[in-house]
Amino acid sequence: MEEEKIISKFLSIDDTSLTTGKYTVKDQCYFDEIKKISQNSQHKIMPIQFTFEITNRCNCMCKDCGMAANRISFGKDILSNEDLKNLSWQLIKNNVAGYAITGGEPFLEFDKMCYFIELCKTKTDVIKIISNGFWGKNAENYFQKLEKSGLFDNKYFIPSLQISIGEQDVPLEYICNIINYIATNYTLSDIHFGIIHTRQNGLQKSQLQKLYEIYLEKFGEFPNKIVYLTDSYYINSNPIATEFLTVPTYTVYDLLDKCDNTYSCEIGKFVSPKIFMKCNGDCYPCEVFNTHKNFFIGNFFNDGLHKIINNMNSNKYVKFINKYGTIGFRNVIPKDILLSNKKEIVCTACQFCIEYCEKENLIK
Amino acid sequence: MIDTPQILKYFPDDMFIKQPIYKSKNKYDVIFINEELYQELFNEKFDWDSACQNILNTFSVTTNKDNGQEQLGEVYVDKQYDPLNIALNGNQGSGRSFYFSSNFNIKGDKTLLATSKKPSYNNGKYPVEMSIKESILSNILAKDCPIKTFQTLALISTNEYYDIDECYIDENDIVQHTITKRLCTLEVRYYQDTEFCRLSNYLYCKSIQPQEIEQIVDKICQVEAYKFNSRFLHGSWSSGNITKFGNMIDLDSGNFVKGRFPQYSNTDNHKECYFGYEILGQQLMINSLCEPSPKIDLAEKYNKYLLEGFCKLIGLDYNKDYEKYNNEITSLFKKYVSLSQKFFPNYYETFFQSPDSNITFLFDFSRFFAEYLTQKLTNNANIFVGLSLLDNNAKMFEYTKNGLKKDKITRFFSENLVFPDNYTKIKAEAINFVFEYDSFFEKLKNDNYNLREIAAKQYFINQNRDYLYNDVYIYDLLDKFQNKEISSKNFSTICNALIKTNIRNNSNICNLKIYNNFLTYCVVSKNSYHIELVKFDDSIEFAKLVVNDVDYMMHHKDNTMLSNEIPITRIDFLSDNTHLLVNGIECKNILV
Repeated sequence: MEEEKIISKFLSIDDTSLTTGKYTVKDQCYFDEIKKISQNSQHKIMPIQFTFEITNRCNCMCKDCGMAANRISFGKDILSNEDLKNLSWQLIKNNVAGYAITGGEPFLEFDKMCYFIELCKTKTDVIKIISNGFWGKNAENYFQKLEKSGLFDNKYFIPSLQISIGEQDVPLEYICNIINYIATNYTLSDIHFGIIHTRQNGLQKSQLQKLYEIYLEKFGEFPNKIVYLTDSYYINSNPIATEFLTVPTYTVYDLLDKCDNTYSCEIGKFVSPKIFMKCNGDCYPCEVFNTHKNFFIGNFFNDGLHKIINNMNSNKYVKFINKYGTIGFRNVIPKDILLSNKKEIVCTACQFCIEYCEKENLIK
Repeated sequence: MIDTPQILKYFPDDMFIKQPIYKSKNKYDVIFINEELYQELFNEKFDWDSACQNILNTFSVTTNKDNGQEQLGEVYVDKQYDPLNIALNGNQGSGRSFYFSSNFNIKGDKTLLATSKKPSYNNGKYPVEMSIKESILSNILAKDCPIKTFQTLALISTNEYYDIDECYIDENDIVQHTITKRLCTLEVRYYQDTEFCRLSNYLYCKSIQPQEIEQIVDKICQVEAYKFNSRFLHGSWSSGNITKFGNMIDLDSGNFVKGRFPQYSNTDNHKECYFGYEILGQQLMINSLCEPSPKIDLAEKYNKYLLEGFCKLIGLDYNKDYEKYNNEITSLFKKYVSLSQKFFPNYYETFFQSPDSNITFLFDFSRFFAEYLTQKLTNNANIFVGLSLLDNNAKMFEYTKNGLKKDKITRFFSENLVFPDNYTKIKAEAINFVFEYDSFFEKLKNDNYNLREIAAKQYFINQNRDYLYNDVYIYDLLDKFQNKEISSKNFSTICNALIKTNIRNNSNICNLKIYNNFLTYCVVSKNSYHIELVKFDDSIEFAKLVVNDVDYMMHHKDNTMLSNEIPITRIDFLSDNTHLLVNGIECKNILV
């Protein structure tokens, strides 16, 4: 079957409506609530989502892993129950609406994850969990425990579960089990399930196509418009990778209008604003690909969440992007420089601009 | 204890009277501080708040016991004598200025020598409208004029107001009075050496030796020639307003002017107070010094210095080039002096600030010198372009009234007035000037002169002075300051920029532009220039400069932003197509 037809079976992440998109709210009154929280806060920019690595360890060893899994050399590479208790308390105290759990592979610490969800139940929402799906052999067991912990007791958000397929060596059959369990037991108003498909060069058949075929073989017809799909390709984000990937690049100038994470109160394609915490406690105001020194806003274990939110609000680049968007860099950096430098994605273009502005002292 | 003034080195003690000085009871405020001079004198990096504190701690003084707290010591007031009876107006010496501590002369409080019967000369008051002018002009002239003036360190408001009676004759020859409330100020003037050694002091001491007069003549001619070539009008010449060494003093009546036609800034009663005619006043003064010996004619020396300055205006060096091209330069020079003073009889526009004063004069030599050679080199401009650059498009008004003003102007300046019957002749002379000028530079080109270098020099030195002419004048800024639209800190910043950007001799800074919350100017090097942006507040997060469609970064540095160097691709680089984007928005909102 042609890939286009396969893709048409999935829901698109480009649907950014509040009620049907990948990240949706349960109720429109969410924004009134958020407004109230913001009004009562001393901070102009309040994080809606706190994303954290529960562990940096992963049972897959993907050579182009963009999450720097298994690469923590200093500090914690796994959060203790004490850490999680502290984190949940600080999220609630600081009125953070929700959190996302990532890794490493978070299901390696499944009991801790359930413990954390339970600690936060009805007080701050689980917005997203990202996994490689290795636990899909016994999906029902895991879902039952998640349900029991409070996965479906969110106040504002419909929880989202995202499974990555790409270089991971998890059998695709396990992922099919998860899809089938969700399609059989839940609806879109219970959970938003997504496949994050990252394509690799040189494969005759994509992982997505393989997944689809296995599903057909095992369960029959693929569920129509139940599963979200993020379809992308690997970029050179692993600093210790030995092989350089050939990836299309674009001018920084063009990439700058591709980022829609401007720390404004929005959900839909993205939930923002966010704080991202590495397992060692280092925090950044942007997820995944923007963890560089100019975006470092403190260490959770040393500084606490309140100070980190303060730092986020006083970070000149967060303030700049919040006010002008990344496209605002076009009014700061000369056009010839933005046109002559090429990057793979907007995050690296944004990082380039921030580092350039820092070096040349262009933004106050 | 207050130090003894350095001025005492030059005069006997009995030329001064001593007067008690008190710490002021009233709260004073700082209006302006010369940042560069402050750093030099106080030996610390300039910071507005701490500088204000230091200035107020040192100079919040008064000679009026009723307004004072404890006595700080004594100040010195200089006695003067003026045989022409112009300088003193009935006072016995300085009526509102005194020497304070080692190197300061403070202007703006009544002295014991203010014995004039006229309140305007004996009340000691110094309104901000006058003191701000002197503060800016003194600091420009201290660097621009070959004979340095004193520098103003600071201007202080005493927060006291007084009514000033301004009297003028209207177009119907009726004397009019206007009463205006003025803010009183103290101006802290700094001298290093002889900047306040007034001729009138030496006249009081009767200490001028006949053999010194030649030297005085030389200095006065040098200064007068500078004034003509640099378009500066003192407006109130007297033996009290110049030193034995040629330093100009009391510049509150002074102004830079756009054209070189006769115009006044202070009083229109004397021909010698008009632009281009102040040399006649100096001649009167020298005559009085010479008596009973034979008089010395200033004309020869004056013309020699005028000629030297003219060479500079056309980008040449008198010492190197005049001998070689004696005939050509002399001919051009004579035409320049004569034609630049010609004006249509706009009888009511000879006050430098009159709305139409800049369309009164016939020929704009500054524009011509600044641009013609440049355009000739870059656009092959011909003499018709040259003529249009020289022509000021002056307007001839029709007057139905024949009154005092008309009589006066006709009597004073008949040789420079242009009427329909002599207009053709004058125009023909201007055409000849452009022809001669064009052929002269062709000749220089054939003699392997670097015309680009010459044109660049001409371009800079002949630039108009920013914000110092009547179309957009410093009073507009002062109004905004007094209406509290501009804080004193920002007003002082603007004044410092006005000073910095309006020095034309041996300077590389020009093109001041004032916006609502910042100002900019150009800093020029040999092959490039950059823009400096001075912030008035913290609202500027980032900026970008677009020059001729190329983007340039603006880097933050302390309270300023500096652009990258912009290559000079054309001599008239100030005409580059420039857009400044501040916080992403193009700035067009110029303050005044």
